Amino acid sequence: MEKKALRKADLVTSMILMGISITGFIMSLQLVIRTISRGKEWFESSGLFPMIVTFFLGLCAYSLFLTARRAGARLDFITKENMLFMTKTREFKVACIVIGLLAAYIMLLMLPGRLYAVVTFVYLLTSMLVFQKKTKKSVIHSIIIAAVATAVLAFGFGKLAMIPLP
Amino acid sequence: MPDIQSFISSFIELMDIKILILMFFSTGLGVIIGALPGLTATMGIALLTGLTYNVPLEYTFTILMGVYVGAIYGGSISAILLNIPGTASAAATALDGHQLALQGKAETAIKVTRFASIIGTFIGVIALALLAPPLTKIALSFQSPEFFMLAFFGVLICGSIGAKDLTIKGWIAGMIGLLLAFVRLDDIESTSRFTFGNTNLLSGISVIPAMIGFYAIPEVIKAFTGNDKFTVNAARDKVKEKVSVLKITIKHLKTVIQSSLIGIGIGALPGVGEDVAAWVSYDTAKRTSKNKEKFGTGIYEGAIAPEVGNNAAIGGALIPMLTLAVPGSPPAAVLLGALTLHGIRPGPMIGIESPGFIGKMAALLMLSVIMLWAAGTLLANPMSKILKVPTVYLMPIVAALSVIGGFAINLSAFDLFIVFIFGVLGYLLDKMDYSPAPIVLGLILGNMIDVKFRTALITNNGSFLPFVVRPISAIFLAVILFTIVKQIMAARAASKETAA
Repeated sequence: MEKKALRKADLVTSMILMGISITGFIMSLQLVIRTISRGKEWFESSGLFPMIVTFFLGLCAYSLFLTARRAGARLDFITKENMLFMTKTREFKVACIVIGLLAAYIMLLMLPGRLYAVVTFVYLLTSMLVFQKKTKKSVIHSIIIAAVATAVLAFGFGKLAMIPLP
Repeated sequence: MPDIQSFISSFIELMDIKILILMFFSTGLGVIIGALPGLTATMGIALLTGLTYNVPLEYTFTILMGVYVGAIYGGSISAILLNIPGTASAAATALDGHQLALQGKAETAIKVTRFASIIGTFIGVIALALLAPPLTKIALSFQSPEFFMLAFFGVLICGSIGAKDLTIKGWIAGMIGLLLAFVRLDDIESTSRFTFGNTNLLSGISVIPAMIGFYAIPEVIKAFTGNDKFTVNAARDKVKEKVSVLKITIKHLKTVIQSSLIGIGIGALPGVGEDVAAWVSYDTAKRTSKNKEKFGTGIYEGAIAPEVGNNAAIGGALIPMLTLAVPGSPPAAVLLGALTLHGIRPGPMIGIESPGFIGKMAALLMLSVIMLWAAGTLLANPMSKILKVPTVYLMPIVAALSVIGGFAINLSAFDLFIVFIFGVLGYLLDKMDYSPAPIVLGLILGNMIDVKFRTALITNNGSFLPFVVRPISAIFLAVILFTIVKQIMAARAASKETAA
């Protein structure tokens, strides 16, 4: 990411981090109050150290916010047009597809029944095919590689090496 | 010297045919993992930790150490042949290594970096065998304030040195790691903290699935989103070098010794690891060389320095990992998790609870040096073909392996979510130039930091004095404050410069 874009991202991240640190600080404070209300000492509380860490996280996030502002980053880049443009970039689309496929793979593995080999083969084949030019050769290569990889994972790992499969 | 004796006797014990074969294949696998862009030493060790959960301890660590050493060296092959470092620790090697390949000296460059890696790892073994046992004895005098300060210093220094962009981002990464570590049932109060009623989180976020997510999944996503097309140079010399590899290395003996010491020193710093060791070694070699103007144009000295540095850092990184339970590098952090999984408790008590274990690890590292020579020699020529394996076939298999690795340790479907969530988080943070190392170190050390901090306060009835009065703790505190103040001053100076 180029520096200018990075600082804009830093600006947004710093605000999210400030939100996390404030929420975390309040939750930690509640833990400290709960400990004291039980008649224990404040320094025994499980919220004590998180409270310190969230405080410093807030400070660091604020410092990042200032650094980004000084570098010229403003929130005015968050417009409908820019968001639409971002969703149309190749990187965004590819990242969404890869993450989506992985999410679907994990979800399908959690279904009841011993579907590991089928689901893995489908996942591998889809991932291999989705980003390459679909010629007869590439499809055959993908099917063979996905099948061999599935066999190694399901039989080699699962049965021979006794590694528990999802 | 009972520790040296245990090292020698462990090394003799390792002369078992099964272990030798296993180490040979593991080192070879490590070389391939390290050489393939997108696959890193940390990722390889994290995946294999999950997959070797059922394997006996001795074989597990034979595999993991072999992959570790092999992968750190393997990165230099793609750095030389492709100008794409297979691992981050080989990035400095690419500067001169690839230039040598372009001059038609690829084969000699690979041989020289292999020899440099072997020397670096060997010196790391000596440091591990000699320094770790006395350090364990010193660490026995550590109490809660010292452990707290040491671990906190580790996260802070890792954030400072490992930051890709701004130092503040390194610190933020470390604090995110700490906060993630706090999600669990508290060890002292036995109350749930930040678990939001999810019982799966009571034992904390599983470190190995989180690390698999952090190191493997972002690489899978990045491999598909990138448009990298590269040409692989053949691993053969077009121009024959008149001098032997040994003579080239001996000619740069000063650089070898200097880089080894830097590697061991930086490796021993918590969480910093091989990447920084390689860059500092390269930079120091450049600054102290008679041929400093030739660095970057393709000189052997420029390829030797980072390779000796990053491989010497392996032994250095294992020293605090074994003696203080504070890993010196991201791969060592995964090894720490693997040790815990197999019932070994690293730390000052390791010499008492697992006598001879440090010697055994040093012996395994020594064996991996020998196997690196054998596997590296055999793989040098086929490597230019292996490097041509398209990402589109390789990366989905890595993702499938990540899922098995993440699941196998606890047999928990929840860990698959951890792999996925940390994978996506790792990708986003990587896009914004946050280094994963401080997050991982924070996640690993967070609970210890918290428990030691409160134990020190409870023991001293809420007094903060022990953190300041106890000498070792006070030294760490001074270093922590110095690091923070130095960074703030540097940031202020930089912002004034920008304003001017």
